[in-house]
Amino acid sequence: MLDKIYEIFHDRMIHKGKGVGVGSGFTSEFLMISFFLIAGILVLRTANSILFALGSILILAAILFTVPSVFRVEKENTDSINLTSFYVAISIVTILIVFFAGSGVLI
Amino acid sequence: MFNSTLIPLMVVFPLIAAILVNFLHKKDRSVKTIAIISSIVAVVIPILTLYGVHLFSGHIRTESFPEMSKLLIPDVYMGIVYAYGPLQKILLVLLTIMTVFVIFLSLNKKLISGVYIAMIFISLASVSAIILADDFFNFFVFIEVLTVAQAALVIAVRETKSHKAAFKYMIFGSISGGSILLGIALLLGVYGLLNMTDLSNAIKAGGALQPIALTAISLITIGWLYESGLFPFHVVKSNMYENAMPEVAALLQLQSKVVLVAMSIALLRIFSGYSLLKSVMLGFAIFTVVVGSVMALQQTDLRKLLSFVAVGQAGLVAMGIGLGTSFSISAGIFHAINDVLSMAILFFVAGFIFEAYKTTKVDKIGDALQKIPLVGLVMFLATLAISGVPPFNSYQSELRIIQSAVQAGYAELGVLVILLSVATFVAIIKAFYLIFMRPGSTAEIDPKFKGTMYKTIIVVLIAMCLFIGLFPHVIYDPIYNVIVALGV
Amino acid sequence: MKTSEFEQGRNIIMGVALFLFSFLILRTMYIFSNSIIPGMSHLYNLYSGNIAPNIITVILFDFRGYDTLGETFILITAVITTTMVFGWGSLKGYKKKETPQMTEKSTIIQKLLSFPMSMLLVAFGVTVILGGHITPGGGFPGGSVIATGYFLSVVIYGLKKTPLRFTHKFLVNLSTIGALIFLLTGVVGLVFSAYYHGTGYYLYNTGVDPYQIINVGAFGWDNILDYPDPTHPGVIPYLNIGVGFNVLAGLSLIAMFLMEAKKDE
Repeated sequence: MLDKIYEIFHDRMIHKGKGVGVGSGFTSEFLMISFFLIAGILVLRTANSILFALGSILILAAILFTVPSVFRVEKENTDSINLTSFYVAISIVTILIVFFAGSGVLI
Repeated sequence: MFNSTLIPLMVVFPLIAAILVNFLHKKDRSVKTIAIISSIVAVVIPILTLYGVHLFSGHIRTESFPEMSKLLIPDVYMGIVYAYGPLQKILLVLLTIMTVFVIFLSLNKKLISGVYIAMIFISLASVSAIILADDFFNFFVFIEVLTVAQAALVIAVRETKSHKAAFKYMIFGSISGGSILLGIALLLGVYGLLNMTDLSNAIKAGGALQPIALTAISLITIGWLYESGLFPFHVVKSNMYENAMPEVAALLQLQSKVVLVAMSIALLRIFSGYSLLKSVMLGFAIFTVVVGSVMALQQTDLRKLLSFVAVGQAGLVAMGIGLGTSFSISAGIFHAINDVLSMAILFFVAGFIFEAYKTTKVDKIGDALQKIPLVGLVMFLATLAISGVPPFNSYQSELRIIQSAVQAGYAELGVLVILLSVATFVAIIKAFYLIFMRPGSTAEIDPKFKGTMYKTIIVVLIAMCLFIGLFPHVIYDPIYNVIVALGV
Repeated sequence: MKTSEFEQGRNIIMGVALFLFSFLILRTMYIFSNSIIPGMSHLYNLYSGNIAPNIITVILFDFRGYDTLGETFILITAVITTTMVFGWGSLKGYKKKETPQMTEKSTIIQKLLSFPMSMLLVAFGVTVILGGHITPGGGFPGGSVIATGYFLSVVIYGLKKTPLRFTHKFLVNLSTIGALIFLLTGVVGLVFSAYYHGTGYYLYNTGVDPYQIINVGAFGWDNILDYPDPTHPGVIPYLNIGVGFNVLAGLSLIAMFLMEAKKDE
């Protein structure tokens, strides 16, 4: 996968400007991977439970297998109202659950 | 005369101007005169006013009869209260000056109507009210006015895409507005208060948060995410920036960052003892930062690119606030101010290019540096400014955010901030290269368009950026003192 | 992305998420009833008796009068936004269109009854606005009642033939006057309390003068802007009238634009 990565980006980004497009594609891919790495390290370092840490490593491994993740992110961020409402619903419930579970209140 | 008496005029004066301008919508010259005079007066009022507390309808602080009203504190404010301090002054001066610039740029357009200018004034008034309000319900009322006025500014472009963007903005606005209102209602039911200072004291006096207050916090946090354009709503927000006229997009991003700052401070003040709120803020902020900059790198339209950069920078501001120490919160607010200035330059440059070439697609325009060298130079400097290169202002605030992240024990976030700056730089410099330096242009420049106003304003703004970058303590120290005094 | 391309699994996740959300909200509402305290409401009930007889109006226009100003501006902004959707004041200019010819669909009973009914509604609306400080009602309901009367006659007789005819300019003027009444009454309170007390209070009720700060001073009067009424409610009826004008004009303006719109818009 990783040896073909230049070809993948070249094919997908060529219409966004020759050379510059591929460069920005690479930058964003780099940013994505380093974000997940950083997030993984942060969770690993701050979480005290081993289960949590193992889970984060597994998630990280799963993400590294889907390497050109940029196009996936782009697809998930189109201005479609369906996608936005999906993420809104997920976020609302995440916030509620985090606040309730984090405060130890079981309603 | 210049004591707290003048505080409500910061909101009421723009409203009166809006009503008059809307009334005279067809008479071109009088609309222009009123708009220019009132926008300049709107800048003067916050400078003249002294710090203080304004009691609306004259209702003073009274005894609360705790045995009958079951309130947890002995005395309360009866009416609506506005508080005006150093932080409010900085935000209001920034807001009014930028609004003056936008009004000047908008008045130069053909077919500009009084109704459009009225909407700019109403949004100015409502953001001022949001900054000043010490009352939760008043805060909500003006957030609603702001949402509708922003949608109107985008609808006025009258293209299918802008109508769609405004429609989505209103739909999600109803969700967030409803949840904020429900949260306020729950807090009012449980604690019996609407004033933020009193509410904060009552919550402290009441000990641990009740489950109902937890639901209220979650609902208000959802509203906070929407108003500041963070993660699940970033697409809606960037869509709005993209489809507005570019100079109005500069105004919209300014307004959402100011509302982000004001609302975060309100939330942190009310629920000051509740640390989970800060973690949730931080989590959504990090997500927004990454998604915003990744999306900005993919765009081929200058306006769309800048809108995603604006969203990512809002995430950076929220990250500073979410870290939760006094240092990081003041760094976040400082970054909001710096970022608003440099982002506004970029949006004004986009507006100039849109007027000159009638398009902002980066692959259609080329060779522009030979035709508009000054704009190219300023855009290059603004790119350096927004990605945190030393002599400019964002360097000072990003450095402080990184320092505060390290101090708070999250060194990884410092790395993330540096990565974000790199990504922002790559994204904007790509557009800069394609528009200004690439040989061969398919779009023709409009030879009649001079754009003197645009050029003046962007030069003034880049000078402001440089000034803040060289003397950061003028702005940063008052903010830091306020945040330390708030004790959030 | 169209709905058909949307993955079905996500719909299920979203459904479960919204179910959890509504469960938590309803559960909160269920336990909410046990923990409501009187709070500010008790204090408002305690203090509002000496301002005007109708306590709700006193809370709406005196204790939280400034919020009501904000609510009025939500209405104004919403009306302007609606008119902008139809092209009024947009950046591409506004062309006045021909009023579309209404096809005759009204029956004779409708034609016979709707004009007297709309007149009654207008009269009732005026009563509701003017009696806002004593009886249930006020600017918001009264203005909407009048707008309903206008709507009824416009729907039955058409925009051109309606006996109750408002022009566009008239409605904009009315809305402006209503908003200015509210804003400037507040400024009057600000100026007079600043003159007599040193510190100004926006929307101070100069007619009732609840804190006794306006003395018989230079002008020789005690109650500025007091509504001539045995209950002496001060500026509250004027604010009601302003809000009433505003609501009436705003809603009628929306009705007019909706009637003028063609099918393709």
